[in-house]
Amino acid sequence: MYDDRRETATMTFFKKSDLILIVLLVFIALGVWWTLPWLRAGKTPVAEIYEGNRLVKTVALTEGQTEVFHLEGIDNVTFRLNAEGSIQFLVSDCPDQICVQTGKLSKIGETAACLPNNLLIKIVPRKFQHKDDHPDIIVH
Amino acid sequence: MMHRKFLRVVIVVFLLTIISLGLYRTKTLTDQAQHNPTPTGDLQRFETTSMDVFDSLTQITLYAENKASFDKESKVILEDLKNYHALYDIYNDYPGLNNLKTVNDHAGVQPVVVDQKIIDLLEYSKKIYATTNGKTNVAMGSVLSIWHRYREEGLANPADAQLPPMEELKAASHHTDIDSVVIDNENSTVFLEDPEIRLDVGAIAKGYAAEMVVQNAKESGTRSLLLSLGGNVRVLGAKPNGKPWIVGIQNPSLEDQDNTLAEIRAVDTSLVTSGNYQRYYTVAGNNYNHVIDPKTLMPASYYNSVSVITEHSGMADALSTALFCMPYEEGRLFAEKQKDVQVFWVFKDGSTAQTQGFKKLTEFN
Repeated sequence: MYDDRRETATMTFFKKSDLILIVLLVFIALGVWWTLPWLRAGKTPVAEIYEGNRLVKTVALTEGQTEVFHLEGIDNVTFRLNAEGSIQFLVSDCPDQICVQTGKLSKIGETAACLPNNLLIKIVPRKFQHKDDHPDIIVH
Repeated sequence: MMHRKFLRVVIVVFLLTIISLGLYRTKTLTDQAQHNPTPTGDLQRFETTSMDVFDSLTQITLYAENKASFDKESKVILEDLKNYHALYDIYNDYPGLNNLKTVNDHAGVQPVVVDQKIIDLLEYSKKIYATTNGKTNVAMGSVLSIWHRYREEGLANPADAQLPPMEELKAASHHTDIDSVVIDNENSTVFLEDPEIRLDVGAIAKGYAAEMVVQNAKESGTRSLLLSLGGNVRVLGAKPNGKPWIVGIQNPSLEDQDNTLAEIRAVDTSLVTSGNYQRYYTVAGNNYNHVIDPKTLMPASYYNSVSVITEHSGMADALSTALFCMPYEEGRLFAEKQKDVQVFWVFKDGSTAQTQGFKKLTEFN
């Protein structure tokens, strides 16, 4: 009787259809685990904002998102993330305004610098490695 | 039934765990990608930037065996650039150093003993003057300093921004004779015979310094390097896998920034752009850029930008300035006479033109 009960319990937990379902779902989950980073990385670039050589903020240039922001402790410079997937120096108190006049950045290889405020925006690939067909630099 | 419910709960928890791990992995790998190099064969790609030299953003991308090797090579490059910056500076004094400001300060007074790097630059500048029929003239400092002053004042007080009086510009233009710059190789001196002449090497110094620094790096064993000095791009070699570097050219107009106009496949070459979009000031609603035509003494206004591709970065820098000051037909004829020089013009209306050989280097979008 004891053995029969155990067999019944085992059957309850591991019916053939359940096993197939579990295996299937595990494979799907593992597939999601492996592919999700690549899907999320996509082709959307990332803006890195540096103060000197220090990376202080990373912003994904995702389309549809808008944001006007400052860096912590640096109120004299304003950045704007634009809905079309670009970023720019919006306002700066620097005398030459070169950073503002550089305009919107959206492509890998683009940069804008505000030398008086020691700030740099650099557009880099969101994928994990620079590819040979990515521009190494874009000039105006 | 209870067992089956339990089983479902286990499966859901398991799946959530897997997906959470996947999300965490995304973040981790993205973070790593920002700070870790890209391997290519035995060499890895590294990048660094600096805002310390030539009043510009410096970008260094090079392939090295490891981070320590990259740090060592990029440090040498930056130190080299700092040295050139100090020597070619016309605005600041440096303790114990005779630079171009020292030479300017002694105009009409006495020769100044200078570093060979200054003599080399000035001799190269004289050749460039001849090549460009005077369109790129490092002895135009007296005129450029007037524009510099008015631009600085105009940027500081936009409501009171003014143009320099033409009489003042013309008076200064009488003191721009490059033959007044006397180089004595034997005694390593430079003497400005005309007391009112001033050197301004802004049209050539960044390109020339970039060239010299890259040559030094090459002699030290660097094989694959991209150096951008404020948009003056010099590449050494190809990438380690044999692929070319890719340099994009974008319309400088703020109204048309969406499209990259051209992408250059670059190997052992330079690309330098002169444009009207960054360094300018506004008077009565009109923008006045910093590239001054020696003929009119006014900012050149034919183009949005002119890009020059040729191996020597100093040549590319100087020719881009000269071509920016020439009308298209004249510039086209001039460009076609130069050896191994390709040019890309972006006109005011956003249209473009290029020399015949330029097309071979590009993929147009």
